[in-house]
Amino acid sequence: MSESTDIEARLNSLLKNNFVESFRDGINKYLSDRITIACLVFLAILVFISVFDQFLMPYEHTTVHRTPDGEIARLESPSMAHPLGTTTSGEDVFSRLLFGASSTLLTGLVGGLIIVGIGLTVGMVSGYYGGRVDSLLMRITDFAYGIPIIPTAIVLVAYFGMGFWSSVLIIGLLLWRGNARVFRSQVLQIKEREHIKAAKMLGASDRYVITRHILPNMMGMVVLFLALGTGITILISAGLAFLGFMDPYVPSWGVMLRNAYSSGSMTEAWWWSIPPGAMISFTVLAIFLLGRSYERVNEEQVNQVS
Amino acid sequence: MTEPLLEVENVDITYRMDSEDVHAVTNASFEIGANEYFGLVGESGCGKSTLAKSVIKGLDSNGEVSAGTIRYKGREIQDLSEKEYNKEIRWKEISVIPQAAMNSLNPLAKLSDQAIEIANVHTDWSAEKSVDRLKELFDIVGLPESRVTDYPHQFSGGMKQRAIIAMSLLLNPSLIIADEPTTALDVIMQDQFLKHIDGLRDERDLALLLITHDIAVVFETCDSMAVMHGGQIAEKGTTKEIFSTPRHPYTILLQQSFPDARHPDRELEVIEGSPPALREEVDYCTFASRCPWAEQECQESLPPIESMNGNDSHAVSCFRSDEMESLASEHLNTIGRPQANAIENEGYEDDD
Amino acid sequence: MTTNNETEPILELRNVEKHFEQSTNIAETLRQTFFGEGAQEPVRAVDGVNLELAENQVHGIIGESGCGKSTLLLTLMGEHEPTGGEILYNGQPISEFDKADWKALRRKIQVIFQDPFNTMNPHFTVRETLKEPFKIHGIETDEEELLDMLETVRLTPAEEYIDRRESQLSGGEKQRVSIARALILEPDVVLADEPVSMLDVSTQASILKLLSELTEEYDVAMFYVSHDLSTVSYVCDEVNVMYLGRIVESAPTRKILSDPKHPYTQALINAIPVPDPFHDRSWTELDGTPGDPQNLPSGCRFKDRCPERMDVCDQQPAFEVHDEETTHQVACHLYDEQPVGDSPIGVNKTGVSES
Repeated sequence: MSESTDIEARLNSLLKNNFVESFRDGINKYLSDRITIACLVFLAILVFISVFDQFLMPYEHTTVHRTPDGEIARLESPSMAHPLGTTTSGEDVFSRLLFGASSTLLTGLVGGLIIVGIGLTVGMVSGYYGGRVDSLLMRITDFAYGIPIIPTAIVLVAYFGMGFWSSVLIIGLLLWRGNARVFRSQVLQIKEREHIKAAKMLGASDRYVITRHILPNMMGMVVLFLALGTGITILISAGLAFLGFMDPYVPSWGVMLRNAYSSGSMTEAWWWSIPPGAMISFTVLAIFLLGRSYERVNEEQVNQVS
Repeated sequence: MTEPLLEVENVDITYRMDSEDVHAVTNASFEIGANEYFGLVGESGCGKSTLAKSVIKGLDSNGEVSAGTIRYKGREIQDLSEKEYNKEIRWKEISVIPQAAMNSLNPLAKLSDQAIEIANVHTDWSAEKSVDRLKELFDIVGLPESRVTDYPHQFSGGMKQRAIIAMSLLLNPSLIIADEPTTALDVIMQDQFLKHIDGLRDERDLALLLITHDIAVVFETCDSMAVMHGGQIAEKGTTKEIFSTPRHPYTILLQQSFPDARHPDRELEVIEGSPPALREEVDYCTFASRCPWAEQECQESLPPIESMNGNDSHAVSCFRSDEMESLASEHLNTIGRPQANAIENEGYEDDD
Repeated sequence: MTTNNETEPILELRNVEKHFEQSTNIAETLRQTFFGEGAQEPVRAVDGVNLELAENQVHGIIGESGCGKSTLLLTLMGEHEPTGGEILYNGQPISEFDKADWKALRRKIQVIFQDPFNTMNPHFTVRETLKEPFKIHGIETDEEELLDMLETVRLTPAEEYIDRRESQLSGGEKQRVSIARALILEPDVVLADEPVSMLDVSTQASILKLLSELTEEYDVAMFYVSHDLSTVSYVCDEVNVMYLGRIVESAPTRKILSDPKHPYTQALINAIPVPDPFHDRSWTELDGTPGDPQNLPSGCRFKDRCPERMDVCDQQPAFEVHDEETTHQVACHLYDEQPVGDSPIGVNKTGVSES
């Protein structure tokens, strides 16, 4: 069979499989829910802000603003010039809020990927191979369960330094434990299905079985946990930042909260503390809800009745 | 004739789905007399379980009896509220042996406690009275009375079955509804179960509504039966009438599709195609698309259910029921006992 | 339908045993070490089974759940390693197979599973499901072949079925897809694990008929595992009845249905409902369920449920040819050389006639 016909055949089979159609169908289902649309729009705006923050920010986030009489414009309440007022050191809160979006999102995404990456690997190996490997991995997981996150993270951050990446890495390395158990139990369930036994009986390699049969049937769960992991990483890194254990020069929303708190004017300067807090909550909420709705659509698509 | 125990009259059941309605049961009528064992037969998805659920207020929340009446001892029960039904009918009048009956006992409670709880909800019996009653019933189904205080897991499979039968009799119901009670059981376990059910006939006044896809079980256990297809009652009558003179094409073919251990060489009939999806109003015979003898008329209007030759009990819903005898014998190529010429094609089965 | 004795069996089981050690937890191990208690009895799921499957033959393995038939099948599939005995494929013991041999064997032995409801990957279409065997074995295939296979299992029009997913097929149709998948590489042996037990009885007929036609057409041998003797006559040439890990009776299908010897086989046949309200079948006399394969009684394993129990049943009955002409073998003391009493009651109680 020549190459071109092969490609043609593949394309044809792709089309015939209604791949495009089922994709569109999925998107349509996804969009049938208003909350989902709201979350998507919200996150899309956030991503847009993260990418184009340099063009959107009215000022540099570090610019110190001064009042007309040359004083540093400390803790100015919102005005036309500063829609969200200024900080104690006279920086524009709105600009800082926009600038903080990218680092917050990146923290979450990287943390989420690490969590799911490790959790999925451990859960898959453990559930699929079973036996001693399983016991060993699960004991390690149990051990990981015993680690209190925030104190350990603080110690590790103190030890390895407060780099932005190192703190994200540490959060990821501590939080995979819950995922591993859930993924393992999923694998245990799925691997008993007869289509998997049938593939094994045909002599399929473990790799084939895992990639073609087990992973596709876990995608809903994986995406959900990626969303949860992303959200939790954002929350915990905000917590660490608030406690002063994140790089203060990367002004994520958590660091903003921390600054507002340590300035001692958290309550009076509500324009400084509430926006980053609210953004953290809304972002995490939007990510969670999207994960849930992906899971729902994924299930519906598989179980659709003709 | 005495008043029947349960009368289902012209019942329609509709499930409201997102985009459309599913007309799961159309114009179904049957009666169960006191002490009568009645079988409701059909393939998965034919509406038999739905119909039974409507009797016990067990329909899913999106399903409703959209027309017709269900009368129990002369009283209309289809519009009773959940609360009234629970108070007056459930367990006391009608009790249920559920699908997968073997796993239907609460594994965390002693049988005696489960009995006390049921009696407590539905009667004003004292705990002692409930346990005494359970002991009595254990005796009837052949379990040692001392074991009423056991947990379900202490029973073997066969004993569990008997415990479930005993439990369903606890409040002395007049009707037991058993929904596929033996599906997924091995033949011997199934036979033990049926043996106990059959044994109850002599013990007490009891009627049974047995729902199953296995026509052989119904022929053996029941006095009367109805055959359902695609939400319609195709034919009803005593088991003997249906066996000897089936007049609906579905009954004829269904009967021929069953293996009979006495005739291992008999060819089995295969019923082509699958029943319609019942998405729109059903005003046609749902078997028409699979029927070898269907005519134009069958696609266009719903055949009325008519009694056969003035016989009260035997009724058929088929426009060509009068000709069916000769049509079928031609088709089945009768040699002594009817032997089927198999039609090569599709069998249908659907999960319910 | 005749047993072809001359040909070499394609699959042979010699005294195959599969015992499961009870899982030993720490407490258990400690108790054994300190109190010198012996290890728990193993679960003897399969206990010395001899079977021969010749080319193009269909053997039934029949028994209640818990009799070891599923374990036996899993052992044949290579999922379990037998703890004793030998399985030979074309005369070669499979215990000596290396990886490449196994891969080749996997092409030659295929399985049809019981549960039609997760027999297909819900993310796969019928096309992908049928292509999978080729893909795993690195064989080229084309659309034509897949469509032909669908026609063969009577999923017509094939073009319409090939793009469907699991949720768009009925139970019977799914089982047809399983059959297609099992046959598409033209195997030598098919292992069918209760392929129709979860279907409506009225659908079973069509699937069984298809199976039996296709085993002829594709020249495959088959082990057909089931708890139900009522339909074996449509598929099997020979039937083996299994009870608690052992084969207790084995004979050509017609023979076993018309003249069952072992009281257990008689009970199995007698328990099949007869679709005839005029026929007065007596209910089963058996009580309870098969015992626990961990605490097996000595001697005949059926003795505690057997209506014909005798003293001699405490000794294990030999599995002997009962009828020289038909290779009818049975393991029951009722048929010992010195006949004990009259011929057992109930032999023909079922009214099974030899047609």
